[in-house]
Amino acid sequence: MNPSDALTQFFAAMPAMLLARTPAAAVEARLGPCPSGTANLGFYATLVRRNLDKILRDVFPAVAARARAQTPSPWAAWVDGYAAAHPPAGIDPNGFAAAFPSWLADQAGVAAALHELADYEWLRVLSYHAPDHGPEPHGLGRRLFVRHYTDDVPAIAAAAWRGAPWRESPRPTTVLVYRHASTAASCVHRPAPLELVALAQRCGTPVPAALAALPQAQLDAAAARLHRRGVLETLESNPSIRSEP
Amino acid sequence: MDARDITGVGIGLRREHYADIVQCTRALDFLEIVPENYLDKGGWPLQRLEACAQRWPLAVHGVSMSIGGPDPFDTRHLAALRRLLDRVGATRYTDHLCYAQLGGVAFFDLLPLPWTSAAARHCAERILRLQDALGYPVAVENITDYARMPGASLDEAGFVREVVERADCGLLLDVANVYVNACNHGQDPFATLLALPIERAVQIHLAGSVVEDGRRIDNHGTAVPEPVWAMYRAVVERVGAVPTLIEWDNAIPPLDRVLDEADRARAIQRACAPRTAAVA
Repeated sequence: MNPSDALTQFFAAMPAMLLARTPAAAVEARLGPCPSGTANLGFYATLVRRNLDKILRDVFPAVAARARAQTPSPWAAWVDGYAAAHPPAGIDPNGFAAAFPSWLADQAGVAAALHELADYEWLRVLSYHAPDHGPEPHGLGRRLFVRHYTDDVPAIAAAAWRGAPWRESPRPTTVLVYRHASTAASCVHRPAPLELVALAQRCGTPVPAALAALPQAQLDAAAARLHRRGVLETLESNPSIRSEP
Repeated sequence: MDARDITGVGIGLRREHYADIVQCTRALDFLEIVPENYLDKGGWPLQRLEACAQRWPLAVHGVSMSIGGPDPFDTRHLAALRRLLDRVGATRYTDHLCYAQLGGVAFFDLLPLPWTSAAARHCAERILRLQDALGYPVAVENITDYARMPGASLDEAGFVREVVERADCGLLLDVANVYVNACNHGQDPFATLLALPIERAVQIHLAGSVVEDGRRIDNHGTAVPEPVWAMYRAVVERVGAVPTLIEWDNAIPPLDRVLDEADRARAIQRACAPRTAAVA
């Protein structure tokens, strides 16, 4: 065989084994025996599997803790099922985790609190690492996210990160998940209704006419609170934003 | 930022040390960063990076370039990487002599190639292409391998030598990887080490490893083992005080503990480097 062809064949044979879709013996059948033995060749599938598991555990520590505490634990099947549905790509390991919350939401028998928890943990990672600047007013959708969960997901997450027993708290909760505009810390805030309107106004998101007609002084006060919490950017924290009205 | 060469002994910049590192008063000659942690990102990590770049020279060591792989280099990634190299004042880019992606699938691991002349030519051509695209010299690191790939016709040292000589590039000599490989393949670590093109070493890595189910695993999660220190001493005696990095990426201890390891490497550089070599 031409040496370059042999390298091409090597690259063609390896992915299925590395993703544990074929055994190492199948690679040897195509490429010849592994001088270190079949088990050592197959160990690379174990390493890749560990990497994917670790990425998901690191991004979703509360979800993983909950899943791993269940008997039998669904975690391993989730890692394998998710990796099969969303093969890892790109250079950023965290990127592998991006579709996990929506994938989890589609799995039968997964409680809403759990896939919402995955969404919450992902947004914390996403906002923490987001680029500093972008076209979105105040980083909405980049470093700032608005969610309405069916449970008090931030409380569930905080308990899980402390190692406390899992306890759902079925209490619909609206939250802002964001990176603080000045300190860059990961934050969560349960906004008052006026703050939501003020946020929508500042970010250029349409609001119902009745809400838009609220007294501007009240909305400005709400916006000031959001500035103090680092939800809204200031000229100081982001010189590229336009000055506030 | 003006480019600054690395010298002496450094450590990896890790998230766990972000809060402490800028107050560090102990000897620390350079920091190494994994660029994938900063490309197209912002926030606290980037703020820490910029603070560190003001104080220390930075080595930029990638893990995702897949130099030995078949996939075309991602031009958007290369452009972002070049901007980062410029921004932090790096003088070269280092990555691994391996593949990490195939057909767009990323394995997030450093995977060994079959050690053949064809693979060496392939890697050397890719290194030259990468250097042209980045506008920076590239050095490649010898990796761990838990299995010799089917079809190999060269030994590790012969493969690495053929690659770096064809590409006329530097070697990032990972002494700990040589030790891990020698343990797992029943070889003499010193013989393998000294057969590598150590005269091309532009940087050295030292790290810990663990034994798991009979295999020594390169986990970067412990202190540097004594045999690796002995190998390091042998290298320094031959090639001088090549800039050396302590890698500690898992079970990361307090900063002082990592710096203790750096002090030990620095002492070896001072004690063992040939008189003609520059000692930081």
